[in-house]
Amino acid sequence: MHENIEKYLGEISHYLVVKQGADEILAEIRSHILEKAEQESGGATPAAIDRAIAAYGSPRDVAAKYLDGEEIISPTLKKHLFRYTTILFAIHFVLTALAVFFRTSIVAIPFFFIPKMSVGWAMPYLLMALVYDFGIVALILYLVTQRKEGVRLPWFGVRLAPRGESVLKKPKPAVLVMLLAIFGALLFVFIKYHTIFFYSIDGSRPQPLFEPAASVYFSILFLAALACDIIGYWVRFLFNSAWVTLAQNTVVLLILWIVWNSPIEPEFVSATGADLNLVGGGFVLLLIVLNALRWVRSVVRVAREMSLP
Amino acid sequence: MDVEFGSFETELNRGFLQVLVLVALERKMYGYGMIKLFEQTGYAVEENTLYPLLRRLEKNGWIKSEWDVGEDRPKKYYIITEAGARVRARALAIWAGQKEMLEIMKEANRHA
Repeated sequence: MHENIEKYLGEISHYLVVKQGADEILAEIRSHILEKAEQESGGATPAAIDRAIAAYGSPRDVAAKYLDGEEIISPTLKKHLFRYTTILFAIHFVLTALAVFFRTSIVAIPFFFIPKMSVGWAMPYLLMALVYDFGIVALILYLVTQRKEGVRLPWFGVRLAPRGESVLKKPKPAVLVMLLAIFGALLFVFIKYHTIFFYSIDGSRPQPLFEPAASVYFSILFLAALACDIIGYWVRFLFNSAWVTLAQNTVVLLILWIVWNSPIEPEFVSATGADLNLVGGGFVLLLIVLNALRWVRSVVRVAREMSLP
Repeated sequence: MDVEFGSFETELNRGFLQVLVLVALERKMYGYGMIKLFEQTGYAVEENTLYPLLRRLEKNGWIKSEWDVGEDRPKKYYIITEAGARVRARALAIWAGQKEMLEIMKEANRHA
């Protein structure tokens, strides 16, 4: 018994996924290593065996050679993986929106279990739903691949962009300059007045919308969201990829989620004739919905980009 | 450039190695013996490539194997089957045709 050989074979065995004959494969490798050590180094000494093992290759590579043609998911189903995930997630998204809107649970086991939740919780829930949808589709495609009977899956051929072209338009320098100008102006206002939200700008003394603590807090969050958008846009000059917009929209959504679930109450200055709590909440909700739509669009674009030739 | 050629060479060798093994297994041989035989003719084969190939050929029914446990160490010997011999004949005919085609093309280029 040669300890290093057995250790090496044990590692190969860990990666080796064959339906039958694994022991025979390992026995043949063992025989080869011993033979090589004896023939080429004059005996099966530990050093000779180590040399023969090193020449045979890494356990992972060795095991992979036996898996040639045994894909987990067929490469021909790659486009299905992303297209089906997108469709399933779109359904998930709509049902989640309905569950939030009607304040109820929607259950369709084993495909969906959408608990009653707030808008704030819907965002992290949707992130998890995306991972779940991807897993479900991957499982189905795995089973289809393993059947090896040429199952023809339906294809929902919605074309979002001409094949062979980028799914994103090229970023324009003028837009970046405009965004930077807006950000610069808001930053100037924030530095000067410690807020970017005003109830009144009449006269020489603008009236802040919130009390001082809430003013600083919400101003910083909105500036951070805008900065994130600008950085995302700028990065697209270097890598014009849908992944960039997805990352950008995800961060913006997270910031809006923090705004919605803020530990600091937005204490509005007193004003007559207007329910500012309702107006402020409505404004944030509108931003969340708009950005959620942007986020879904970027997920679709990522899926589309990955299926481009 | 070398990396690209390496990949190209691997592609070229993939089919050739299968034919070479089918030719070599006219007589009973085991893996290490085959590698040494190929080395003597100037053709280096990685062991972790040869054994999976032998397994695939056996799965196709083109070669068969048996363990010889009579020696100091068990060895797995392979030999070609009748089905393998038919495949080998067809493969050699294709290879001969391709070789002839290359010669014709080269000859045509010389006179162009």
